Amino acid sequence: MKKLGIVLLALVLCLGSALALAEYPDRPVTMIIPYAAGGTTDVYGRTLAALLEEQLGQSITVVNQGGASGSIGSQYVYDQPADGYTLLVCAETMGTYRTMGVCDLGYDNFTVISPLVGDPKIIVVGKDSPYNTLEELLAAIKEKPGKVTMAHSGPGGSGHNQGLVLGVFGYDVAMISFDSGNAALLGVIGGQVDFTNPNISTLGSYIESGEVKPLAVFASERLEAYPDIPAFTEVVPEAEKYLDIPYTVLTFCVKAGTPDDVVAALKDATKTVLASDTWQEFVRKNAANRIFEQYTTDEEIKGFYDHWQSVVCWMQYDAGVAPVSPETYGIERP
Amino acid sequence: MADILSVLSVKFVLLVFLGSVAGLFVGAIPGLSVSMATALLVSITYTWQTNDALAMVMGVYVVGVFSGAVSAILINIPGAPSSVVTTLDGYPLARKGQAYKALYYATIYSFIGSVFGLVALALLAGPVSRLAIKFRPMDYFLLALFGLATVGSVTSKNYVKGLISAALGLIVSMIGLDPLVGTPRLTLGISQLRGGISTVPALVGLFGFAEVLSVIFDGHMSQTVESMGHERMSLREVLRHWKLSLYSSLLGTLVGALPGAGGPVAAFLSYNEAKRLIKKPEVPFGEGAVEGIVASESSNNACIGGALIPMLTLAVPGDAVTAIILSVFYVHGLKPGPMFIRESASSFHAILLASFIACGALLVLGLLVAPRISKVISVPKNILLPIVTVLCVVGAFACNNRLFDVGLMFVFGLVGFLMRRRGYPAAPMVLALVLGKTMDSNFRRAMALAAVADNPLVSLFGHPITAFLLVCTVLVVLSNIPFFKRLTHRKKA
Repeated sequence: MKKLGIVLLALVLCLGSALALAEYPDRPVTMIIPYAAGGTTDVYGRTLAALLEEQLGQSITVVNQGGASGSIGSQYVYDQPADGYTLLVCAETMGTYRTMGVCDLGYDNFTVISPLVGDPKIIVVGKDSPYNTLEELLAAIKEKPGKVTMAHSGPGGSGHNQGLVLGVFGYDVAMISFDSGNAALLGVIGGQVDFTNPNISTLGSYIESGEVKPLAVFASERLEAYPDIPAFTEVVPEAEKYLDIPYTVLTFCVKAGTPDDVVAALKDATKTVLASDTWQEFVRKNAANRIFEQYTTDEEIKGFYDHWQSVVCWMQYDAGVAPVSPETYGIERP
Repeated sequence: MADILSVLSVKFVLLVFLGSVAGLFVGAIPGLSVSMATALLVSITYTWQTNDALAMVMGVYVVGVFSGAVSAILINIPGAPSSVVTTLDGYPLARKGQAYKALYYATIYSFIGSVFGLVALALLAGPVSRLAIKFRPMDYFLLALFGLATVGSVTSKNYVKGLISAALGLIVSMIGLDPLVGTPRLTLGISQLRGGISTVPALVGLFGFAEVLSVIFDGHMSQTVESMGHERMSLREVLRHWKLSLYSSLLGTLVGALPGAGGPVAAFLSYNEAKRLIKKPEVPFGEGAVEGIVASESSNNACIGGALIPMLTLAVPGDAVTAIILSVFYVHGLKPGPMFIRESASSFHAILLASFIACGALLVLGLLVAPRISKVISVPKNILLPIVTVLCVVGAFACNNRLFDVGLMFVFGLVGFLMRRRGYPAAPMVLALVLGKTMDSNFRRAMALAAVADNPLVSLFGHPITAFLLVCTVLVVLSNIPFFKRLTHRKKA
């Protein structure tokens, strides 16, 4: 009798877990945003969560767990079971945690459901700046090495990383770290710093109000929304190799080792969301890079993150920004 | 005017009021913060219309900042860092059985401060934001240093003990990722410390849990406060301090408009000014002077209008709450920035209108609730303390959803308790914690800029705002050195 009971119990448990697997998600899901409410990651994460809820048929609770460049929240997700009930929307710092000595996490520890968006950056100077074109600015940097100042959004952040590209091509600028992209922009508007490279999503109205002069899109292509601003590579063609990737990269992922069927269910739902009018309209309004359409297959996604990691980690290490060599983690030189 | 009123509807007013009631509770309950409540509102109001969402958020914000004073006065636990100063005179007043009087003053002057700041927002957003842009990294550093220099003299009879407390706070604030290099420092290999020490667990521990420990240690568990006074106050009598209030509000608005400084600095500066200007208060400062409450509450509420100015015109939040309100804007597709007030006039009007209605709600709720809630002071400690302890734990956890923060709260509680026993004030430590990161990064930023400038000294000090702040800081420090104190006394004699 007792044996029968155990067998029955085992059967019920098996059946139960099989059903649970078949029906992901069968309970509310948590999405961790590893940054404070109000930032770009938060805004995109919440938009994604709201649309994803409709597809998954379960509520998604968005939790902000900020701190240490997003590594606290990312670590939390990594410490949870790999069952697809704790989602993560992270920024590009995930690719540089290890070499910056922040923590031991990298993109390899997570399974990317989809890249989301990149935020293009524009090189701007204040309205009273003597520089009117990118050529003039670059000439001034060449003339007084180490004297022209560039404000960026924070150490090891996207603005800083992209600024390092200048150093690769022999433009020696004095990098000044600020607490956020907006604070860096204010430094330029207030006339304390010569130039900066803010995200287009926050810059928009400053161009219209004439408070800053946009000199170039810091990328290899012009932007649809601002066709008159030249691309950086039009002036420095050899920078193509470094500027064909976005420097602000938002990624939607789960912990590595999450069951394949759960990942598949999330990918399907996310695909529908990313094609929806609401999402498309939101991305268009923010003039963001559409990397979610650029990299869709598993190989493309892996290729993109590997390439990104290799370019940025080595550039940081060569410039003395990152203390740990990328070689330690088997990241090859680009 | 017609534009502004077009936003108005019964639903709008109700939502503001609902937000105000919510703000009253989260602000007054130690550990639950206004920024937490607004963060929660971002999710709730996600699908709402923009104006409805703004109505609710502004209600929570305006009343929440005020109600931080309620717990500060009644149980000596400030609801938020900006109410820390209110404890200095509010709690002593409550202990004398005049809790009602303290709450009444806090209500009236929070109302005046809020209205002052919002009028400045409505009329002077442009000029004030242009002034804020003029502040250089060195100026932010000096402003914070000035705040810390005054805090020592404000909170303790012993200036040195105040400074030591502030220095401790500064060291604690250095824990975490280095703001200019990006690598961990002072984390002792504990991975959870990489994110730094958040303000909420520290505040709740230093004031809340430390209070619990102190009472247990003193063994005054069942002792209730002396008889409750319920003295009648004429409005004319209360409004006598309008000059001090306006001056404090002005300080609050200006400091609020500077990103990163915010409520606590404004309150400390105003309190220091009040102490300097009013030589003979009826009751000495620190023992229940209503002037202290007037200065603190006027200025921290005036910060609301001030903090909204850079948020709306520069997209740079003035404090933690406006940072979250900024996300409400982004989520609803609005773009704060130099064109905002012109381009999104209707949203700007909605904010103003909601804030002014919330001020009304503040007055009504404050006056309605004050006489009832002031009885909390007579609740026996053996009932009150367990509740406070639970709230401390909940608040510490809720601020970043980490159990680690609860542990931190207990550590800070113990530290706060030991500091109290030795006569070290906790307030400077909290202020230093809030300001430390800003001071550190701005000072080093100023140095980095000076290093590449043609003339480093001119780059550092050659600006009127910098010179002014430098002189103020030096004067505060000098005036507290015994040698100079004697010197000035002799001159007078």
